[in-house]
Amino acid sequence: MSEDWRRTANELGLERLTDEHLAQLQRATEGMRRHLQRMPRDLPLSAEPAHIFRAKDDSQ
Amino acid sequence: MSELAYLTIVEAAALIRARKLSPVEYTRALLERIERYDSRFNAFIKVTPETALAAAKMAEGEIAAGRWRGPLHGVPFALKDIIDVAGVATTAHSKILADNIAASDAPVTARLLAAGGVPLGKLSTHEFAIGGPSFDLPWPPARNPWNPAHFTGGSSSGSGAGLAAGFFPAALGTDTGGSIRNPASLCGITGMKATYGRVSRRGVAPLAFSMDHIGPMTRTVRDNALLLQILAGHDPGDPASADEPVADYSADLGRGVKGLRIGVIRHFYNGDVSADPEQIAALEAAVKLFAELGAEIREIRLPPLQDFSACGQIMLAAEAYAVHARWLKERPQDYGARARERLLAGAAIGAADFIQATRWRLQLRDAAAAAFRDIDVAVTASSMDPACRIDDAEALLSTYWRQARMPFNVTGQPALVIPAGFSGSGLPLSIQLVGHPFAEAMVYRAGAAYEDATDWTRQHPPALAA
Repeated sequence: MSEDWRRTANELGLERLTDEHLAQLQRATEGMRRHLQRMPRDLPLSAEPAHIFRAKDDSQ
Repeated sequence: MSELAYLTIVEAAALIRARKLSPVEYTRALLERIERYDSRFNAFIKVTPETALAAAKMAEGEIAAGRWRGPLHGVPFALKDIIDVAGVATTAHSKILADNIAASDAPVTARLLAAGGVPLGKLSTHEFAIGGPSFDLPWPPARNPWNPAHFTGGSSSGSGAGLAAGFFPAALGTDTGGSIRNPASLCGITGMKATYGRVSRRGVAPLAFSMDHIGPMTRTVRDNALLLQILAGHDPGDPASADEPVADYSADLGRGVKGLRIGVIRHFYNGDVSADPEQIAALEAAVKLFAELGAEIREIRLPPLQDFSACGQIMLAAEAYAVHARWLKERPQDYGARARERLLAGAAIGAADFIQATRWRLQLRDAAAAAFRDIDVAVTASSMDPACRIDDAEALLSTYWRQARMPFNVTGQPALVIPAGFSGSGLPLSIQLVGHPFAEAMVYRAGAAYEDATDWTRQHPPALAA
């Protein structure tokens, strides 16, 4: 397993991954990159995320 | 025994209410069947016979005293083992949670128990509802009763296998990227992912908070409607729970589809992805049948399947990593290989990319809403192929993208999978019906019309039917 992936894992706090696990991290990350490449980057400024925060009031 | 094994909830409830079927004898018969056959299918992680028989005795006494609670009273059910039952381990089929005894019942568990259901035990799942089938976990993976050499679909694998095997008439599954509907498709049973927020998620191990759904799995549409009726409702303790009125899901089941506008999302299975020819034939036969039953058929277009898949996978991976990061850092060796690899996919997703995916999600939701504007319900594929072999790693991997379930986790719409025939090799085929948000009753209405006009749900695995 390349030192690059060991370094990546360490930067992510995944210091206990074995060589087999690092190969999994590489495959999984490369697969996720394909999904990320498909994502549009030119959404309208007004496009909101799907999470809505609501303030909470426990005083009543 | 097989007569009792394949009773529907509707049939069992009528017999129990009329005191022609004893809940205790019914429960004993199913426990014996599980004891006899489950070593072939591994549907259960833990059977709880003492609890089941105690509940069955209580139900029998109450019904004898004239206190019938409803159609689940005295009827056995089982739960995917990521759902809490007080005093029983919720293992998530993982070494990591092997000793995780639940302190209280999940609200969905409490609702089934309050309805008088008889809890048989906890069911196999893919590890943490994401990685499977796996042979490197403390429990073996579930196997398909139609052919044990084949995949059940997942992650609610034990729920699908147990229903097809006649171990129980009702089960709960969960569905973040299709995990109720995948085993429903491959095991030839019926599974509903209701609208996001319709069923409480509290007390259920999370996979991805914004896409997790808990839902009913049964052998028939009518049973499924009865079970959702028990599960649906607002839970103030679940921040995503919807405070929307609960419809009568059984009220329209006999109304047929005459005059309904049924949209066909054909590009999902014959364009964006090319489904197996036998699966396409089953879908087209269903569309033709709906037309013959009087529905108006319209083809509709949504964004490409691959857009929903990418958006859903980014969100799922990022949210799941947030749940699992600590364990992946401290004890990565305690995961099975399949779950570990899928969970590591979220490790390198940046915060901006995750937020961008949540913005994309609303664009996709809005596009789907526009496409559904002039229809009542839609039909499309669930799985693109019959069940592959459980030891075919390449085919298993392809099941993650050769499916049309993720779109409705992204949009949150209700989606029901029902049996639609068999492949030449005797494996189940399926269709998926999709509705407007909180229009589960309409989805069930269309599903019941299809079910009444076919006989797929009355067929059972040949090796077990005798």
